Amino acid sequence: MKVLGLLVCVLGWLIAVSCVEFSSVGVQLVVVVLGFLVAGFGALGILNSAHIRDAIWKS
Amino acid sequence: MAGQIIFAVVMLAVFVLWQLAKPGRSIFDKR
Amino acid sequence: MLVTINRWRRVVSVLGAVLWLSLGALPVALAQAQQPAGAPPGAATAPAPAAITPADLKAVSGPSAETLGKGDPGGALTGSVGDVVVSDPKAGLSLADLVNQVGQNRIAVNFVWTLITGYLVMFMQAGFAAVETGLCRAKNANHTMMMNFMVYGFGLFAYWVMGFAIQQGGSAGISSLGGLNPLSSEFSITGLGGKSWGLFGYKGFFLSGSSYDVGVMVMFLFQMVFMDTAATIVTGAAAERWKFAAFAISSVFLAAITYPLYGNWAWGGGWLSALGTNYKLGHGYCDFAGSGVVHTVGGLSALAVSMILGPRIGKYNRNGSPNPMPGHDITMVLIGCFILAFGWFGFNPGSTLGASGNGALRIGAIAVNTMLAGCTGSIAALLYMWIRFGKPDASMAGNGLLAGLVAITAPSGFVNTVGAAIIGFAAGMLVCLSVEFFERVLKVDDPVGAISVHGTCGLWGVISVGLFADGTSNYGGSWNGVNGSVTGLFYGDPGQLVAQLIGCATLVGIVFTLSYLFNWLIDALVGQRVGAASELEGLDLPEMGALGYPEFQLVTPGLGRSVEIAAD
Repeated sequence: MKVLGLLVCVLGWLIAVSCVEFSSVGVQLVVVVLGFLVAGFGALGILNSAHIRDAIWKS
Repeated sequence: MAGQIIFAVVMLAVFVLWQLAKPGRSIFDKR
Repeated sequence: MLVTINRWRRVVSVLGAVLWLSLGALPVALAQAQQPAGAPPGAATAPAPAAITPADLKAVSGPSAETLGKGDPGGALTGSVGDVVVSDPKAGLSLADLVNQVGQNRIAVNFVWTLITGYLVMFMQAGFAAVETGLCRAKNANHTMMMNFMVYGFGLFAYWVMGFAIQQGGSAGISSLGGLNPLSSEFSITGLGGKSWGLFGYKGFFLSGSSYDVGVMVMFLFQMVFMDTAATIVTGAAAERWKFAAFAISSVFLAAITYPLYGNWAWGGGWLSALGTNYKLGHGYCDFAGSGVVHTVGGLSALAVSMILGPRIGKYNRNGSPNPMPGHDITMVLIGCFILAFGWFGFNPGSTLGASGNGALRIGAIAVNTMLAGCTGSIAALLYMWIRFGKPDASMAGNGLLAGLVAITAPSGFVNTVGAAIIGFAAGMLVCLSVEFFERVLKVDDPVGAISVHGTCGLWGVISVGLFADGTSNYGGSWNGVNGSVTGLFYGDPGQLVAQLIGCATLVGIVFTLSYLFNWLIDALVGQRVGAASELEGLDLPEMGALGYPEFQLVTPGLGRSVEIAAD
């Protein structure tokens, strides 16, 4: 799960960087925000959930 | 200049409305 | 949507107070917006410049040695033609001597400025140490202090060995410091659209060879103290449970690899700064003094380490609800915040890398932007806590000041004072929301709020360049190789915002991932977290061998039992 979270982080970066392939600035903004949010989800959603699952306060 | 001021006012309004409407704890609830 | 009458009553009273206060400010601000920009004064017709001849130079004379020997209390006589360095004493003063002296004076002013501001930033280490130690419990005071103390040594060493070379090895061309021509090696690959993407430099290891250069030395000192700011951020979030050995290794990784990589991409001629020249995205990623490069890198590395370490024992109950763990010395925290605010006058204005030429006289505006954002940040955080909890909370007021300062760091050279005030105020609100979000929702334990202050508000600072940059700065007619002034969305350039957001995505997607992987490796090899017994006793004795407060009996509240350490 942790590895998946990190991979989603990097995927988010790839999506964000791919925005340069579009010519319209509006589309670029949408794509880059999407990429940023995907990366954030990878870190704070997937990766953090994996840590909470084995949290010290659960034992 | 006007654009950034309008942005600030809009953001403040959005924050206030969000705090008003959100369920659970809000900045406007007395502890 | 259920909005209770009580909430409405409170919001009306709060808004009433806020509106009353801002009634004075808003019309003034709007009146400013209405006024057309003052027309520049008509330039008087300048007379045709007269050519300077050698005879003119020979005719210039200064006070004699005899005159000077009588003393010069007013200073009118000291500093004259006799002080210009002459290359050939037999030939006397030449035009070449004069012109060279002017050039050297400009570089000297810039050297002094960069070095002095660098010393101010170095002093911020003391500020961070005070803030973090004050926000931790007394039983961990020695350990927390020592992490902040030694991050200077470990970080500097790693940066000297390889970090600076990776970051700035290809950054030749910085004219304010004499050109930095020895730093001429940047490794690049071919990226999207066949454009060159700079990845890292490879000149300047150990500051030896051609990088043994006066300009490079100044640049190294200035960049090093910025790196150390990033490194020390991590110690705050990981305090009270981080092994000292693991901290040492982690800091070396950050100083040697993680920070320099992103620093190269943003400041060292790498691909982020080239987004403007390569893809017409504004002026490429712009980060004047490092909201992204320094603070977000530090904040996200802190997040990675905090996740790997896990929360402190007693921080969360079985149901996941958090317990407060107050710091032991709020006075130290606020003194530390003032030290940081003082040091920030080096951080932001110093990032012009000079005070002469190429728009560097903007240093006053940058300093004012910095102090304003800190001020509105602390006010916003204070208001939030006061309204929410009924009391003006000191530690969040301090964090609000820091949040404003972090957020203004990237845009400080590009925005006006109204923008700076707004950026700071938003950061003050953001930091309060972020602290609650990380603590309650994500359940990431951060004893000092470093992730929120530096990570969240650092990202806000990066984004705010793309929004608030007003296009009036002029640092030599271009920035990142793109002509014109950095301009944000509100002043007409949406492409700049795209470049900033790419930077944000890189921070979260690459820098955080890299930091997490490094620290995961350290955890596997050495172990990051101390044992439970050490943590409960306090890290001072088990990790450091000495108590921070040996004459005091320490009681830790909130754990349902007292942990007492005898004075002897």
